Amino acid sequence: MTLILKNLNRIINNQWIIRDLSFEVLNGECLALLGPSGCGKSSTLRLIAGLDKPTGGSIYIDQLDITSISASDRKIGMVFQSYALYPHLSVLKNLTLGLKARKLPDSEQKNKVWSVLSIMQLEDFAERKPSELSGGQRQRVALARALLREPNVYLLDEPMSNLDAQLREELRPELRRLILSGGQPVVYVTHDQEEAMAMASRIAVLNNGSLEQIGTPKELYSKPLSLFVAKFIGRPQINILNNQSNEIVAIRPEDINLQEGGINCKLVHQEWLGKNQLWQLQSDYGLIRMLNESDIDVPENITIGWQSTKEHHFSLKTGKRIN
Amino acid sequence: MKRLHFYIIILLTWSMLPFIWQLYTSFCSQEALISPLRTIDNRWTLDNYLRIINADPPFWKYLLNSLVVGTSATLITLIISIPAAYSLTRLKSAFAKSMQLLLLAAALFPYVLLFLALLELARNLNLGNNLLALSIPYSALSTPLAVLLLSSAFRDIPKDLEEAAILDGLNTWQRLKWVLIPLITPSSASTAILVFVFSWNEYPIALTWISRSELITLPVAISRIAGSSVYSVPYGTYAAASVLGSIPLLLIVLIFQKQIISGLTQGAIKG
Repeated sequence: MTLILKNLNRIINNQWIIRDLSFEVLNGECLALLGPSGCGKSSTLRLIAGLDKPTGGSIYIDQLDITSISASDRKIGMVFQSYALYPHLSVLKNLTLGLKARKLPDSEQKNKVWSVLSIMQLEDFAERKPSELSGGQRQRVALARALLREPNVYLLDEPMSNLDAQLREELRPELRRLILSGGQPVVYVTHDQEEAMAMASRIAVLNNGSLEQIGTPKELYSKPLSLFVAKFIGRPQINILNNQSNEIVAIRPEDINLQEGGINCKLVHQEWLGKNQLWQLQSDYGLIRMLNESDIDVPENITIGWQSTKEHHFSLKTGKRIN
Repeated sequence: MKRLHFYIIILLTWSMLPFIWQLYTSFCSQEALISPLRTIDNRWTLDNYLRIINADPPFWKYLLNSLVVGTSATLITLIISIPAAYSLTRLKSAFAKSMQLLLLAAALFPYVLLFLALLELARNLNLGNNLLALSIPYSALSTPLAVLLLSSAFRDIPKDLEEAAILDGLNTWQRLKWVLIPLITPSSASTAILVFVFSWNEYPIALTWISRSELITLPVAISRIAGSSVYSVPYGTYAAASVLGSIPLLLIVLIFQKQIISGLTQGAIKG
């Protein structure tokens, strides 16, 4: 199955929420929608789910135009940021409700729910209410509900944002395994570039409702098509050099080296990150962040440089990449 | 803490004292009531209660009448108000907003002004002396407030929950039945109690719509308890009737207590 968005628009009160958005998500592919809050990533998800109506454009699953099909008939497996579990029902009943609505025979309902419960390792919690579960367990229930929908498309809206950092890292591979094994397209919304890179085979960066760039994590990192993407992908953030030319020059902190006879810098701040350390340097080009191995000790005044091929150039006017 | 206890005791006294006084009065003989400080041999008596229970028609008949009217009024009100409240919260149009204002106005309207008109209606539509017909004006008068209370309950349900149900493939009726109505149970219960208490206590409409003595409701029945002459007011009997009349209400509040207090939406969202 392939999910295709064609020139999708959404306008509310004369404001563009989504602007001319087109992309494809292939069978078994996970596409991350990445961007700052208010960039339209959740709105895009709601349009795909059918919870909101687009102002223009269309959505296809394979050849089928689903733009005018109602949300309840689209067969979408969605995991909400809040998980949105029915608080008055046990885990078992939470999962059965959708099957009951589809009027499946009782025995089939039971079989399906229990098999998903065992996949999710939730059998022991079947009789518990959502309020009696931990954050990670709730997330698994929400995911189980999406699986039971036997969906054409999975939509995940910041599914990790309620979990602590350690649990998030632990759950990533599991989540990938569970949702990508089914062979449906997966759209994964997040504002965390690291999570997007870990989860997705491709990332779509959104800004003000329009698509800035779509590509593999590596493409976005090594060849960002706009200054916005360059700033959003890669941590520590890319340096923008203050060189008073008619274009913007940016260089990643990890591409800078110590170089004799290079640019004179003064070390103003030092952060120890484990394997690496991050230096904040004061130079003629403004403040520069530089990443270096952590066992190097340097004096206050150093000289740095980089290969010119590592530089990223962007237009001063449009912020687009110049090659 | 001490201070809080003090306030609680004052509040409790303030609200409970009339009831306690009523209870006291209902067990006192007539002479004891007239001279509360003198020692009287037969101060305590069950006569007041016996008189009520042995009256003709017996007192439980009026209780039953009120129960029938109260229950049907409450049911009708909920059946009308729940779908109305749901649609009012889901409609985003200016029409829905003005309807809400109109409902507020209706809820604030002093209903006593309506009872003459209602009487005319009852006469023309032949609704007099019919217990179930009495629940029509009761639920009509309660519906505006009920809709307002229930729509705020619907509004408090996180939007995600209903959307999750939509994506689960539930249609509107299934969403209401399986997700939304169970979630507003606390509000429905307190709304039901308000409606029930209103119809339990209502006097002018009950007085004018019902004239046959075996059909009158409790407040009317209590007002009809009279002594042997105009010069004696049977306070003890009144009090006993009021106490007996309050017991069903107390029972209902006790039964619904759990629903009213329990925070059902806990754990709906976020960890």
